[in-house]
Amino acid sequence: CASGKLDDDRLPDQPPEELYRQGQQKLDQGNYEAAAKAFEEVERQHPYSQWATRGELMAAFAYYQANKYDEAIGAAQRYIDLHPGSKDVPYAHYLMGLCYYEQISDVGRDQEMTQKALDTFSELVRRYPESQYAADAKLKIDLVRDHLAGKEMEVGRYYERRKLWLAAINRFQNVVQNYQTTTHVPEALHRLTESYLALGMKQQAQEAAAVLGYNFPGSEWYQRSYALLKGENLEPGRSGSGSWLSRLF
Amino acid sequence: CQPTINTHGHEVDTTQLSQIKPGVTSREEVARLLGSPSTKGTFEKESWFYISQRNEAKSFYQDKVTEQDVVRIDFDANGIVTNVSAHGLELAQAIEPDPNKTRTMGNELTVLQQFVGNIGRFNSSPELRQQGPVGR
Amino acid sequence: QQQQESGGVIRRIVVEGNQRIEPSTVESYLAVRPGDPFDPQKLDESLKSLFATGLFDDVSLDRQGDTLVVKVVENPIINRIAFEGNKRLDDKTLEAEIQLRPRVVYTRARVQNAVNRILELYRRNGRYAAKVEPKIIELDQNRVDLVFEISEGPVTRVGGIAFIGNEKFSDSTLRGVVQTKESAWYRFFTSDDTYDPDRLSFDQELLRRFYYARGYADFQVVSAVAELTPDGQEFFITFTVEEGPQYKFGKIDIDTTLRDLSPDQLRQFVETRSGEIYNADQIEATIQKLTDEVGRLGYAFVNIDPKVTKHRDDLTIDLTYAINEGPRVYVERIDIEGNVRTLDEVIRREFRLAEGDAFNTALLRRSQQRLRNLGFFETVDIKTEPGSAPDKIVIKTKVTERSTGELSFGAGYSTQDGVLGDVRLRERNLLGRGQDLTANFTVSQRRQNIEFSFTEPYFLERDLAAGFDIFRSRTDFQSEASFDETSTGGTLRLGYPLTENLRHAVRYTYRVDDIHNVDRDASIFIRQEEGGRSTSLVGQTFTYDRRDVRFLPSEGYYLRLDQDVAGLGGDNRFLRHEGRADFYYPFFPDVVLNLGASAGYIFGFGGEDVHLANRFFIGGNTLRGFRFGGIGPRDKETDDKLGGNLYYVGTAELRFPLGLPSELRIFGRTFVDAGTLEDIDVSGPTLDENKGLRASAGVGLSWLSPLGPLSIDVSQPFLKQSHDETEVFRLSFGTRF
Repeated sequence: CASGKLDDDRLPDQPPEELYRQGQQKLDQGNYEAAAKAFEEVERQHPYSQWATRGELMAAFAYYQANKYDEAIGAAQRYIDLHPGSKDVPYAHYLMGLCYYEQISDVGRDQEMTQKALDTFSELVRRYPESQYAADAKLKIDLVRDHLAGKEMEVGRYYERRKLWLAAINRFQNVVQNYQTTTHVPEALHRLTESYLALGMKQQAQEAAAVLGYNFPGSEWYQRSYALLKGENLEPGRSGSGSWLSRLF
Repeated sequence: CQPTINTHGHEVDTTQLSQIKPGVTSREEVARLLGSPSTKGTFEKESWFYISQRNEAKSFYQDKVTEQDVVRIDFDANGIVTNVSAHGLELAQAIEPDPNKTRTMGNELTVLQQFVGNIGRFNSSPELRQQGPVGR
Repeated sequence: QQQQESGGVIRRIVVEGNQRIEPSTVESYLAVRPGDPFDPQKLDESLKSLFATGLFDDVSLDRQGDTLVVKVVENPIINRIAFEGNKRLDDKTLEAEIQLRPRVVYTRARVQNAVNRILELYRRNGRYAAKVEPKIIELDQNRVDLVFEISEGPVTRVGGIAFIGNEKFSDSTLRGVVQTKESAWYRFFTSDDTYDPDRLSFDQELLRRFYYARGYADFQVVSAVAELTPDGQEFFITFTVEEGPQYKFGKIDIDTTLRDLSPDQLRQFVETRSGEIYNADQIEATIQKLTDEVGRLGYAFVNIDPKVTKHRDDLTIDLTYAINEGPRVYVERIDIEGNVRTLDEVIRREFRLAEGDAFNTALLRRSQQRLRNLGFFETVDIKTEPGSAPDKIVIKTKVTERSTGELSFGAGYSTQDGVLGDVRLRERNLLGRGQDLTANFTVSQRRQNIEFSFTEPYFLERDLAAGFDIFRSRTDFQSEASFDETSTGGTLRLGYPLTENLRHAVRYTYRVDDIHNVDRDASIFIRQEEGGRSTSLVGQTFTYDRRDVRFLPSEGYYLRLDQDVAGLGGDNRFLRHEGRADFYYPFFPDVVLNLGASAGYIFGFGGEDVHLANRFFIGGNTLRGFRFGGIGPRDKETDDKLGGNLYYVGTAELRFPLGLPSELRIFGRTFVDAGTLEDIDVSGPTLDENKGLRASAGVGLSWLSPLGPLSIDVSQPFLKQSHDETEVFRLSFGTRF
């Protein structure tokens, strides 16, 4: 009972190596999406040839080159599910991590991709620590964590601008305590000095500035904290003073 | 037009606060009386803080902080209160947050992207792009 | 099946029957390794995990000596999928629904699941008689082609809706309450007339709410039955209800355990009054108001629940609002997700709560409402999750953005401007910063207009809306006053709230109005005005908005006052006041009376007269029955209209449904307009002040069609002056697509 519909668009079957070679050729020409389709054709027509296994991975790579992130992630995930034992599985994980990594948006926006990149790279480093991709994955993890810390700082600064010091302190503390290896720690410590002083918690302010000075003596953030604590602009003020613009209203 | 008063943070109930005796009350007791602290010390966890704030919001004027209270409770190593202190707006300092920011990466949305609707690709490591899976 | 006797150690594991799956893959799912004992429990585990992969049609474990033989039969791979017989739903929709794709492993369970999904999709589209038959075509290399043969069958319509047990309200009223509608020719836009069980249960909820809001506290839906006709074409739905008696409110009371909060402060917010008909919606509204008020007084932790006591004997219900302290919970974090385009700050600034604050449901509800009013999001859902301590919670906000960019083309015809076409490009959430940018090009027979405007709602991080507009327009007044006017200019503006409903705005405008190609035999008063004059003015606006909704309000009122002083440079020197007031009174549902009045007065100072470009012209939309600029001071000889310094117009309009089903959104209007335009700074023998009240009455029809609003007005002036230019018929139809 073969139905009519299927016969008319039956593709001429070609030997797997031929299809694979076509895929590679298109890849070299930079025609990435066509390449991905060709590699998938290998698997569809010859699911049992070892070219098919190779083809799946190349399809994922080709989609990645074509910025088709969702397709690339789908293909890589299928490769991992079907060939968990293969030597190329670390690369498939790495490729998925890159797909998420390249969709990271700036700190003001949704960090879903950042989180997924972090999870994928962490899994790669945890399961295949000696794979050649683990090194770059570790580097990416640091960059991604730095980005997440950047988001915490962005929210902290938002609350600081609105003089909601408690909310700001908790955000900056989160950076200092949970993102110690990121580039945001010096600024976080300075922001804590600012917020504590604004609340009249001089001892905590001095502590934060001391830790900042001790760990990052050369940082310009330390100079700013130092200036604040030496009382450069310590004029007593009931409500927010500062630039004439805000005092004008 | 009369302003609206907004209260923020954790206002401590003075009657309960008076029941906290240095050398007597334990950490759990304080938590039962006042609830968990708004924030703890950044470096030493032995002191708890309950911070509250009342601002006056009038039309487009910047919120004016009218009240700001910090209640601090210190504990010794085995969790017994050693000191209870509180202060208000009198110790507050006028602070203008520093305008500089630590640089971060990530796709900044451009006007074109907004209208075209897709978020551009942030190129992470150009040299890794060409090199496909090992042993093509 | 696998060998029973255990003991002895597995030396080797051999995998047989695998074609596509590598032995290492099969071994990775086994719970045993070479060197482990033949433990039946572990072997059983391996069997289960191998089956769970879905890769295998059959798996068996045999023991030969000390070798474990794993025999597998691989499931075939799907080569291609096709659908046949589907007319209403195309292949793409079906493919997305069945979650099967080429190159995926074929299992009977997955195919059965796909069949059920297709049937469900057809049921949702009102086709309950659809049938789906999966067919397999064997191919070489253990591959199969999969064909779904579909016979869609007819749409199952709703033949009729009947109600049993309803004495107080007629069947037709109740049919208006439920959402499921009887199939009818004019319901081509809606799918409400197809049978959908979920909608049926929602209908029961609607009936309950309808009756609870009208005093029937004991109301219940006994049954809601949908019978399918033998030919499977139509459903007949019958609701059996028990109305029960109508209750009135008995004693209404407030009691509270909150310290120094007296019930008397709150009585004014209670909408439920003893003696009135019992109404569940009013109770809900009262709780809402009480929560907000108590929240405003600074009590963060509050929960209010109404204690109800029913008296069956005298059919009254006593109600006590118990206001007690709720759990003392604090907000630890506010996390925002889903904002791919909108900046975190633009969302966070709408929150009435900050991190560290006391958790207050009223403030959270208002925050959610403010986020929805932004108009940037399809959905805004806020849920709370436990925080790091028992009395801390995390607020999780998930938004899904909608496209806030509008590229719309408008086409319309209005007897005043002739054929009207406009292109409007608008982005209400520019770069995700919440800023509003609009570019507007209007072209019609009489008017061409280009306009750009930009607004930043939170200028300087405050509740301060700052913006600017620049415009250039060319209008042809030849038929009324034989001149053309080209205006170019710009405005800077600042707006801010004074109270919850009162807003104030200040502006500076600079514009140049050029009167040109004045007809040779135009009125002397027009010819004097030829040439350009600049206006540099400062102005302010107060708006007080208490309407229930902005579009088609049915209750409340709206007041507006505009004042402008021109003279800060520029040629013109004048002071202009304009006021407007609109009141809306709902009578029966959907019958709304709108009483409106507007007035304007402009006078020059510093020895300067008010010139043509700044004078008022009324008519058309502002005074129906008369052409725009068709009344007021005129030149006796040339009958050119000269505009006036003072106008006032009153209007009374009654809006009412025409008995057609509500979803067609057609309604009728009757109205009376009255007003006049007079007082002019020029004088001369040929000037005719042309004073006197004008009035007209008329009827109108409005249709909010899916393509755009259309309105037709027919008005007959019954009080006019001899030279007035009247306009009996007005039609305007605009569409955004």
